[in-house]
Amino acid sequence: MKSIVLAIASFLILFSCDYEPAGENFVVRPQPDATGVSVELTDTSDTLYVLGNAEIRYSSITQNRPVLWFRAYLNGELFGTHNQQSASVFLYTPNLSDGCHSLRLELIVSSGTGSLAERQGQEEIRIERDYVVCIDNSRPDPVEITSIRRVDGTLELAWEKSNERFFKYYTIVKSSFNQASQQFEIHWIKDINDSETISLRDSTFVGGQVKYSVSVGAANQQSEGSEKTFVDPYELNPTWEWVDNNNNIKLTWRRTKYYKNFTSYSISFSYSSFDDRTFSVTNVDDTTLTLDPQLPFPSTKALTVITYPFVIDNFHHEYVYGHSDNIYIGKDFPWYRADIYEDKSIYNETLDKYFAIALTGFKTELVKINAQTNEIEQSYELIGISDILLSNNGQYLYIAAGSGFFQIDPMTFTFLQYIDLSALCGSSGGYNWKGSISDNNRLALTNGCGNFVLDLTGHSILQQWPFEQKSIEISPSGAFVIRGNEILKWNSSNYVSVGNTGNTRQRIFIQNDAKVLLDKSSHVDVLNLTTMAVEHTITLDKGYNLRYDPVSGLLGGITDPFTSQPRLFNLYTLTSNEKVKEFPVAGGVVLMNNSLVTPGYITSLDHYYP
Amino acid sequence: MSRLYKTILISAITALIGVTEASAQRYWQRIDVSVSAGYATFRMDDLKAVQEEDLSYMPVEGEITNSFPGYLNFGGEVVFYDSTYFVGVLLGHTSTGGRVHYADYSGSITMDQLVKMDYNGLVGAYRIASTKAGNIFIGTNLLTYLNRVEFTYSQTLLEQSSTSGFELKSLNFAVGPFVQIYKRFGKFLVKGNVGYEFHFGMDLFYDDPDQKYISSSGEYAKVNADGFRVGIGVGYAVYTRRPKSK
Repeated sequence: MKSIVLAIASFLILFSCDYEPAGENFVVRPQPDATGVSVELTDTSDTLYVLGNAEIRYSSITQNRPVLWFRAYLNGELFGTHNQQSASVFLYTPNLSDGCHSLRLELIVSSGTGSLAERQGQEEIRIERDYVVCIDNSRPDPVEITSIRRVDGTLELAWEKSNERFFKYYTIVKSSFNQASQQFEIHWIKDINDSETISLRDSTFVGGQVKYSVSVGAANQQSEGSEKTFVDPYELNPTWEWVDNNNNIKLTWRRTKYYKNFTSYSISFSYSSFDDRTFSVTNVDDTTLTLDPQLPFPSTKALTVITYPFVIDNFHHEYVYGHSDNIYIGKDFPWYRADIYEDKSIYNETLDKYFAIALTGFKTELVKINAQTNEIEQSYELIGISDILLSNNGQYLYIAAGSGFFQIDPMTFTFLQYIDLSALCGSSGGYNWKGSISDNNRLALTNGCGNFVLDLTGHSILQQWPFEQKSIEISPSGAFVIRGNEILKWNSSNYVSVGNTGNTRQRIFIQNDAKVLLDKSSHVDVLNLTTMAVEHTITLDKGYNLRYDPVSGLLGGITDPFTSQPRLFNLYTLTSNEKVKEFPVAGGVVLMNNSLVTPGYITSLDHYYP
Repeated sequence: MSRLYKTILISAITALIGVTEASAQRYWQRIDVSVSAGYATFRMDDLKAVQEEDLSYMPVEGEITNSFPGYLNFGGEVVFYDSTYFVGVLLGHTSTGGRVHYADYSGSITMDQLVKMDYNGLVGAYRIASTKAGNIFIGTNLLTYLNRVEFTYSQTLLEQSSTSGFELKSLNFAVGPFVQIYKRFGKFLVKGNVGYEFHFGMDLFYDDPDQKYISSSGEYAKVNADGFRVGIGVGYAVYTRRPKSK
């Protein structure tokens, strides 16, 4: 029995004997060692001078140990932290007194042993380094600008040297006088870090008005700026003249005295001209440019010349510019009333005068223009727009008005008489007369009452076709009348039919009534009034304001502005079958007195047809 | 042993296994009570994986110094013998463990895993030979394992120590075929057996079976206690049927 109890007891003892986990992994690690670990301010001795806010740069040697913290203390108070081996923290000093303070740098790095404590962040190496910081927040003294002068083709600015102990830089501010806004605008700002540098050559100045400011910077403190204005007027005054047989213009402008600053002259046209060509001249001494103005009569355009200096850094271009006077072909001419469809102006070769209707203010006037000076010599106020009838010999001038005509002395522009024609139509009408006057004072008339030929000298009706409203025209000599399509000739008592014109748009008697030009829109027939035969046919471009100019002996008119672009002016001779010249024009141009005339401008035909 | 004492012991054992002394005396030739001790090995795949995870999460280069080796196995059984076979009940206990460790001059980290396994079940065997050295049986155990795994984490850093831990539980079912030899010396017997256990384990859990343990890699874990079982034991026949007188 005892053995059984003993066996059971032994069993129970063994039963309670559980396994116990065992084993050890002891790793030998080096002990923490601060040898070779250091921290210091970058490029600074033991005393650091701080002017205003400062960037405190530090660097450290950690022997490959991770940096946990860098801390910087001023007078024991933490003001900056970082976690890089080399970096910077900022010291803000506005609330600190001028003078010296203690600066402590503290570097905490991991021990780098790889031990359990290091891995758990509980084993570190702490290094400290002390410095002295001296703070000076007083504002630096300003320096004066001593001179601004042109030197060797550039502009030199000089100023006093700054004796600030903690000098950092000079700040130069250039302001230019904006020609458009008429005020100074800052052009560029430049810092110079060397206190010994007390002059600057400004390569951005080519002339005009400029203002410089120089101030001294010490830390974040800036002195007051001293300012000085410099004026060296530079008016480019671009002028132009026609050259190369009036095919080109030669533009001339003034050279800049600041030749070393010069980069280019830029020539361009005014925006309103829709001519986007730009020319560049890079030789400072080359102040002319010959170019094709591409200018149809009578349009105008102006040229702008810009002188560019150098551009510095990222600042905008500073420049001086000038505008030329308007460029146009020909000369000024009085403004009169006309358009591209109809121009009633007249040139009388005998008087060598132009006659036209002008709108002057609120008045409508008949004006007489001197063909030599192109100036208005005389004017006569009209009531409404009227037809002007002037005989070729310049003796008879009539203006349609109401039911009759005013007769004006073409030489003196004085009123002579009013011819009331209401009797021709009775009480029912007689207005809106249209007609032509011959050198012997015969008036061919038409309106709703019919056709009439009157002798205004004898105050008689030479011939009439009551209630037959046809176009009617009398030749300068009075020998011929073209009524409708019928050519009538004076046989000492009546106008009798001698021929037919066919449908015409316009009849122009030429060469002392030897011939008549029959404008048939698509062509012109030259009809010999002696033989009544067509001598010649000239093919026309469909056009407007077709005129025969006895001075030049040419026919001319513009093409249809809606079917032909650009609008062209065509010239024809009486001997050629087709046009002899075409050139672009920009308005309702008519051919008179060997000239092209339009309201405001006149040019000799030689410009286009020498 | 006095007859009174034997009667009491047989009555207690037969009551324990649900048979009456009369039935025991009617069916069984002998009833043995025995204890044994031995050696058990363990596969423990899941817990070894947990060790590897623990190792990977250490802030320093640790090492697995102990990984669930074989350990002592203790047990006891009551068996009923017929002429050619026996059946019975058994219970027992075994354990093993593991450790992940790191130490240097500044401190140490220790991660221990202790596995305690209590088991009980049925045993049955058939005599396949009877030799001069003893009777040889072949049989099997059908076992239930109640497992506890104690995780203990301790750290010493710059002479400051801290310890934490938790316990997991699980249930295994096992089948353990074995070969056994025993020899009698009067009422005493000596036996030895060799076998292998195949385990069918449930997932480890905390106190609540629904709250399963999930490893850092997101896996459930089991106590894989598969392994060899070798043991020796001693016993005593608490009942022996008397031979009938001729």
